[in-house]
Amino acid sequence: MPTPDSQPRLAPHVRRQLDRVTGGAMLLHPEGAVELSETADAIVQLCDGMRTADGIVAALAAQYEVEPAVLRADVESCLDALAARGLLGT
Amino acid sequence: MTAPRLAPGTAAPRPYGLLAELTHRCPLHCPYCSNPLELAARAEEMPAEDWMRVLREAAQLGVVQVGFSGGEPLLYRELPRLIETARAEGLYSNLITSGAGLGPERARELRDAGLDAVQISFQADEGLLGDGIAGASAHERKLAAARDVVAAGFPLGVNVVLHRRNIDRLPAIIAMVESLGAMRLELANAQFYGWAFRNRAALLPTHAQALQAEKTARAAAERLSGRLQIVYVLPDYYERRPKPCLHGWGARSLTVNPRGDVLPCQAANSIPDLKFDNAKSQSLAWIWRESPAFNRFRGTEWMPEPCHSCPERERDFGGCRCQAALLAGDAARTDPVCEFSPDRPAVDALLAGAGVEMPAWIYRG
Repeated sequence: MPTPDSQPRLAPHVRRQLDRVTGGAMLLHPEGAVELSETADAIVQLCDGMRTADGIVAALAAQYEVEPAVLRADVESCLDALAARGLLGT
Repeated sequence: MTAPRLAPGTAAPRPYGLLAELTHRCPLHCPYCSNPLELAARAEEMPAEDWMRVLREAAQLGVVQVGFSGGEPLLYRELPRLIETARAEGLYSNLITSGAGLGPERARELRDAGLDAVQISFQADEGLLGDGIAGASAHERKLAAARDVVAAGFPLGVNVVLHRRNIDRLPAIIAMVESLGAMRLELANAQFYGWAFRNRAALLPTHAQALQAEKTARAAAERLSGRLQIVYVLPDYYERRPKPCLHGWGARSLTVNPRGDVLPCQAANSIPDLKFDNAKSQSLAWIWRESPAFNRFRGTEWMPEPCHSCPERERDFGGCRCQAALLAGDAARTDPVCEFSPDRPAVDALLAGAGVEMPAWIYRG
């Protein structure tokens, strides 16, 4: 699971691409596909290996003009869900 | 905000995965091979131009994953071109190989063509047993191939079919796979169709063996969590409820065999009274959406009792059609593995013989 200090990025074997059928973002990996909601995709795109979870919250808050506190739990649960599926690298 | 979802099944079925069986040729002769008893000859294999069209049509239908399989897919000469096409169409491609013939140069060539991942099969943790199961000298080459795959930067998956003669070696098998740097280990008990059904008396583990293996796999999965993902597929004869085969017939994936026949699964050709259409003469979209064979067991309307009124019918989809055809003589019956199936005694009769006799096995051709 990501810690507050970790700087998540997609694992090297994971590919993000837009789905031809739905137009939404998808993560592809050796065993399957994960469809991303719009906000989960925004989080994924901020997983650049440099930002921490706090950094992602701050960037997202600026992007959507909301209070960081509102987003923190969502960002953490999204990162946990990605990590649990082995989709994040360090 | 929602957490990422696993790809859901939708009302209008859309396939996510394509298994491309390029050839039935294989240097290995495993007695549980998932290929049919009647293997396609090289002259019957579908040309690369047709495969490229299949890949493009699959991507248009919604497929996002392709597994290049066989037989041994490395024996299909134009594999790199197919990989390039898959990549150009946005398909995530996986090579499902015995590892034979995969050296460092070949691994780099396939990587440069755009291959995403490699899965190598192993028969055991060591050469004497492994080569005896494969009916070929292969184990050392597989070890070398696994190292080459990791060195080329691929995510490596390992697949081991478990059966009576290797299931007790599971701790050593897991240790070997740990040392290879694999990301994922799939431990699949032999599924009894085709060659494995012919060899079932020699392959079927005892119940005690199956339970011990499950315990071993679970403990290892916990110990290696975050490093090596371990998936254990139970021997379904010992289950009381059927497996949710394919997540439903014609629901999420399709297989194209070396001749170009389009199937809901690898074994579907074994169902005697179904006629499957061919990708050389029909579009993939028509076969997937309209063909009688793909619609035959879609949804729940086709189900007999006890499935039809069963609360589990949307969860296990009545189990496996091929298993019903094989053991109950009719693909439209409830999977005989189910404890509510009137055909369950056929499975129990097979289990009663487990470990009693140990016939020599018949290698695949």
